[in-house]
Amino acid sequence: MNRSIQKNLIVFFMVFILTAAGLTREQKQQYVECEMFPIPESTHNGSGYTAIEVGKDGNIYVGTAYYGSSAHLVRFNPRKLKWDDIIDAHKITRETGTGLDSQSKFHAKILVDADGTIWAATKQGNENFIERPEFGENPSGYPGGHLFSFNPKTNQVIDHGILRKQEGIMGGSIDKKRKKLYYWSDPKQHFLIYDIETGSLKDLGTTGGSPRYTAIDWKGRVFGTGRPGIIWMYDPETDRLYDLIVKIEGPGQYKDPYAMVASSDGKKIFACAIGGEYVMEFDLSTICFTSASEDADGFIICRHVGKSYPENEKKQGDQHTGVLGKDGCFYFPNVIDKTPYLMRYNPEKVRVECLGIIRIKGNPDLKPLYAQGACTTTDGTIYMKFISAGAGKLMPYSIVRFNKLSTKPGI
Amino acid sequence: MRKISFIVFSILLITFSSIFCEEIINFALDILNLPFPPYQRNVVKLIEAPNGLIYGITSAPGNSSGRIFVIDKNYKTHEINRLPDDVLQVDSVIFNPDITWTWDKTRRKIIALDKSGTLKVYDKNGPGKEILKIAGTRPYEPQGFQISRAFVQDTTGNLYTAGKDGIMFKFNPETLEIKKLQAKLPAIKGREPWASLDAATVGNDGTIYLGTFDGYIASFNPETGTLINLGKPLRQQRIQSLVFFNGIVFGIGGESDGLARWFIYDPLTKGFNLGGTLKKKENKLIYEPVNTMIATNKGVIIGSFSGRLGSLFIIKTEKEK
Repeated sequence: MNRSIQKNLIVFFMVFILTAAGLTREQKQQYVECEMFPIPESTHNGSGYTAIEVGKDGNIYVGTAYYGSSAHLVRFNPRKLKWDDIIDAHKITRETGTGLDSQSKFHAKILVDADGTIWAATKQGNENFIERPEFGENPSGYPGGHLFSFNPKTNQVIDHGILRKQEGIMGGSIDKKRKKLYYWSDPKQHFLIYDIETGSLKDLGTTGGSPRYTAIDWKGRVFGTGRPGIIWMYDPETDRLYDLIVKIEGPGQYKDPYAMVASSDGKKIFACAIGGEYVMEFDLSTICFTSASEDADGFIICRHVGKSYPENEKKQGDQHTGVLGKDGCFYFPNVIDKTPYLMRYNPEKVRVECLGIIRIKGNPDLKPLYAQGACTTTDGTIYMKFISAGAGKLMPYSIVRFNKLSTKPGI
Repeated sequence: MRKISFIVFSILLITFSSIFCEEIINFALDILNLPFPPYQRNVVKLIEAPNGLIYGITSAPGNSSGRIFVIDKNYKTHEINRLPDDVLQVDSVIFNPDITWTWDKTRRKIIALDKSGTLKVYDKNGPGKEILKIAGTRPYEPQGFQISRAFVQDTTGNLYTAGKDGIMFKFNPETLEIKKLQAKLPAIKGREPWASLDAATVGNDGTIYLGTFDGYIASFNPETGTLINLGKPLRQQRIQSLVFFNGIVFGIGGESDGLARWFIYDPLTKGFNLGGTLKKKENKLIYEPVNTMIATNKGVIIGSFSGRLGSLFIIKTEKEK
């Protein structure tokens, strides 16, 4: 064979192989589509955090962040695709703080009571974590985060006042049976118990951690991230906080979780960490109290049940939120090199899988990068809240809807 | 010529003193881990025993008992059952967070102010001998006794604290004689009931430095009975702790629901130097109030902050400026 023909054949063969490989990869690339509903621009300046929950009325309640100004609680009606502004924090508190001293975030998880009452709480923004000028030296200072309730039947908003002087309110779990709200304060990380019936507040002291999420189990015990390597637990029976040292079962090193949710039966907690390599499963039946741990009250076992990122990726990414689906699976986004994957952990099969790259329906050029909060409706639809960010075209601060994603049992 | 020498000397003294102060400001604060569970880490007293060891005592929360520990030379803590034999231990007093107490110079007597502000002396376990009720009441407060949180001892062993309206009392633990002094803690008119003695320390020359609930610092000469108001270094209420250290008074203050802030008072320049919020070496804030501090004879400060996860801290100044 002529040398030049031989050379051309090799080139042709290589081009064919590379094209075929590219096509195969493109075909393999899975997407999971969602609809985007931008949050009204007048109520935020581009971000918001864990404050999202579905109400008993089927509406989605969202807390916004408006740095240096007034945060809002807004409501999305999924049937009419309509937004309502429910609470303008400064308007209702008549506060006029600016910068650090403003009620600029509804950060804590929105809580929904058995009667449908919506509970939301504010905190400061623009924090200077080293000097904390909103404390003490500044004559006006940050007054402290307010607790609000909203009754969807009467449209009445009540300001229940400041829970802890000069501190913001974070976290959030509700015990509907005992009529108690559980929060922690920022920056001192104190565990706060608000009694809905009496309107009284109890402070159990510092937790030692700043968990954005807290989980409540079938016994009404509340869990959160404490000091490094420790999960704290509040037990309503003894009315005190306990520190539990985490013992890992499975591969890898323990990383303090960020998002955590209780399982359907309330006997386990599923969690993921920012930059965490593994999905975590805390087995609440393993809690044991022992004096063997010098500076804690006992132990809890956490199992690393699977890698938190897709098989085709080589490293873990950003995991800022997680939610329990109607199917009992744990759903969380994982952003790796600006590619947002939606992951699912199936606790029955003890399997983590990637559902695909999150893509906005009708806007494939938008990349929803950082989900900060999520909730699940009764039909298994999952809503996630993404801040204004993007690789390329900037995505507006929005909630997105994965229609009936968690209705069927996980595969 | 003498006048010029005096001026030059004064300038040199002030310059040297401010250099010294700058060096002091660059301190490093480390946390010493306490091997106690949450709620049992509230160290309310630190003492340096004649044997050079530092002992610490935690208050008893709820149904738990208090703890006693010793800090070794590597700053590790070890729990022990009892204080050394030559130190009086009255459990009902030393583990009770509502009682202000101290030892006399022999450490064989405990002098205490109980919840109602009555001065008592203990020389063994038991109810203690009542000396005098010195506390006043605070208006507008439901359980408003004006109870000082500190005693201070002069070089001869007399103890001082403050009672009603900030009036200073001198107590001789040997004779059990108590004397009401002319000196009063600083307070603006009307706030005398809040002029309690919350912190105190003694300088090398015997001058006593006092810190009040309302945040004032005063110097007190035990020989003359003269008390001088040195001012209020922080905007917040409450001086939490004072310690005399390398020729200066190192203080921490702030409200219990605020943030602890530190300051220095330099007796040479008669000036305050503010240090800002209390931070760990890695620039993380300490959020809880400080209970107690001591300066060891090795030139370091050991202190404790309170709360459910309270712990010890150690402050070492940097050698280089």
